Amino acid sequence: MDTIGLQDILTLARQESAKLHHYFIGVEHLFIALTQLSGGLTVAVLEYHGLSPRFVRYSIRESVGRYEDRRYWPGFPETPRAIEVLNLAKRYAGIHTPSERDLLLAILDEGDSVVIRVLNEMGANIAALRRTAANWTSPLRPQAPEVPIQGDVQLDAEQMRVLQLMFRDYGQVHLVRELDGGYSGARVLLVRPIRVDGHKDAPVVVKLDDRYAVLYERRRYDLHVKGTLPSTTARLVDSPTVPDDSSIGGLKYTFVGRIEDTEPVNLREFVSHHEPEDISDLIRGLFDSFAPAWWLQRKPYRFGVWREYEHVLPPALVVEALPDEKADGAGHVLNPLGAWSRTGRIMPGEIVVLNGFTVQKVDMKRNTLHLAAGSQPEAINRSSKVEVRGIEVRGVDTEGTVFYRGEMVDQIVGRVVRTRDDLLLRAVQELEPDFDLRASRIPSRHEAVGELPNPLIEVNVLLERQISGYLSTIHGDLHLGNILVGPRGDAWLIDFAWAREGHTLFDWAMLEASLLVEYVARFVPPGWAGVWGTLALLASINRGEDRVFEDKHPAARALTVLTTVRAVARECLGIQERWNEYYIALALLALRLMDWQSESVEARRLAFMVAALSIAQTQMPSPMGSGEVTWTDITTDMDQTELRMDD
Amino acid sequence: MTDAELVIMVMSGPDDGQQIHLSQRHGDGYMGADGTWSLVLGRRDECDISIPFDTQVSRQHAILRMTSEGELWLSDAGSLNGTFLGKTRVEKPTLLERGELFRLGRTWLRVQTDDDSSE
Repeated sequence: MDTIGLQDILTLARQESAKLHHYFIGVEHLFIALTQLSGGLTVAVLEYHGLSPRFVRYSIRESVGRYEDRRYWPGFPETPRAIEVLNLAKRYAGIHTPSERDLLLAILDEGDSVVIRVLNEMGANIAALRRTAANWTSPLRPQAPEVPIQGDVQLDAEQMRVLQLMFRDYGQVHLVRELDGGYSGARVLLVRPIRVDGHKDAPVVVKLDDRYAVLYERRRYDLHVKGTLPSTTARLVDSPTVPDDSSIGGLKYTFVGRIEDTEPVNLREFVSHHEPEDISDLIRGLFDSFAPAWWLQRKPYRFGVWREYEHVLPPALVVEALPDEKADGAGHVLNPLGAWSRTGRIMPGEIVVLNGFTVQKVDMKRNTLHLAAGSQPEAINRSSKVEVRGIEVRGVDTEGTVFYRGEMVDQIVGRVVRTRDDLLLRAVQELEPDFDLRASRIPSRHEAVGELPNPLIEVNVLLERQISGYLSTIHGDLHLGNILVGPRGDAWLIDFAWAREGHTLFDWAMLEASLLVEYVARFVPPGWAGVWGTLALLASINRGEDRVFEDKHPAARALTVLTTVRAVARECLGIQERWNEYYIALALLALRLMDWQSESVEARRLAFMVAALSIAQTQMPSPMGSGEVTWTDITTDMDQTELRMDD
Repeated sequence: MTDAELVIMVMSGPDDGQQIHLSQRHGDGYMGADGTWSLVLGRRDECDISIPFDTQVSRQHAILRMTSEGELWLSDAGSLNGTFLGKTRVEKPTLLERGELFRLGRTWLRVQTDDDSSE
């Protein structure tokens, strides 16, 4: 990936040609390109014979001259002589693509070009140059000159290198701005590439992320997204750029549809400058364009909640790795997808033996492994999350163990240092609650909202519930940062890393949670009282009332957007007007967002209380009447998917 | 009388490497009464040797004559930027060797020797 190929040389040749306003590819441009590969064979051979590559370049340019900036043809046609040279290079290369050496030898052997005349004039011995080139054996590490990258986005050297590789065909690259990528640590940039002849291409969205994440996203995209996109949306283009020796990689999204001169913004920015009505229209439009191929596929799906939602929560266990011998038969043996992750019975201090888990992520800086059931992004494979700390993951350790993503680890022994309950508790403690976190109920602080169940107590119960809903293609991470809005109000999705077949309402509960935390929370008055006031408005939406439309409070205005999300969700419910399915999803996704450290304390408080309110909704008597024996209780042996009954 | 023929190769610019085959029998050039074959070089399409993309080439730039003995004579046709044989500006009709490079504007040309053109 890093080695210089013919394509790169042609790109450099085009750049040279454009600089001279030639707009064709001649042997002179090819040769100048070769002299620009620092550390390459051409440079080495010229210097070996006492010729300065810079002076050779200068002399060739002097000889051919610069033309007027006028074009007689589109593109960069090759001259008859360049075609002859390239064909000769291909002959030398045989079944391979021509290397720098093949091209250099072809130019020297053709022997009749401007290049040869200039070299002769400089007193070079062409035959000697050829011999040196053909027999050169010292190692070489050719590098293409850098594409100028402008813009005031701070990137580290590794990220810049990947960008260089992604846009090596371009004359320059303008980083328009960063589209904040959210929680995952990925960088999402809006980039405008400019071709060597000055033509500005349409802006693209570039995502720089962990190399495996990038490769996975491409696979997800090919599997679930590619064939199902409406005509105007963001599309992944090119293969991902993942240099062999880099821990990161890059992806490029382009937009089909009209971009004009205004660049797209993500929904997170859009909501800052637009009225709730506009945001509602946009969300509706997004649903309408994607729904036929995505959310309205309506394949009946009955599943245990944990299968689709456990992975959004913190890891079930955080484990401090122990040397193998300490295991000694003692300790709980844990296998992926066992109920242990949801029973809350494993306590800190206990020894566990992890069998057959798959590495999800290797955090070299913190010597931490993130394990889960399997490597596929299907939700169930991401369940059974365990974080293993204090494990030597960097390089080859004395045991010869190196962990890599996707690898299944036979056995890891460790001592439990935290459980999910601890992690959630700590996250809520950061919010400075004014109620007892260990009590089963949260006392009411608003007359329109009763006391609420404590999500910390209820979360494992929630995971054990059964849902009858629909299965469809879903985005899998539909937060505001992953929705882009074009200047004409088109909505596009980006970031398909978690696109999959999954619970249809996952996306819409995620969008609602994201709207609450990233949008509505901006209007919530500070303090817990403000959170409860907002909660009262949300409760009225849950009851199907119109209060938010009459209330002039900014938070109420913002909440009107949720009624659009709910209208969409209604169409995706497994059973008409049975909202439990939605509230369970919303509660768990709100708990996930409660932990988004980039959000304000107010926003995270709201997330926690939304989880509480949603859980309360799931505990209300069903509209069919209270005290009723739910259907699934008596039909466990029947074909449940046909009945599609909730709880 | 035998047919007068020449092969000229473009040695620079977008047509670098292209061979232009000229033959009296095919209507190229003008055959004088004394047996001298004249070819017009310039930017216009109607020229026997047309160099359309070089803005430094005049519409009618130079004349190449081949005598009945096969000698080649290059002369400038009042061009703006001049005709050059190697580095020397052609002021009056000048004898041109086959294989020698000459330049109109910034386009280099070469009359091929029989060896070259047999390829």
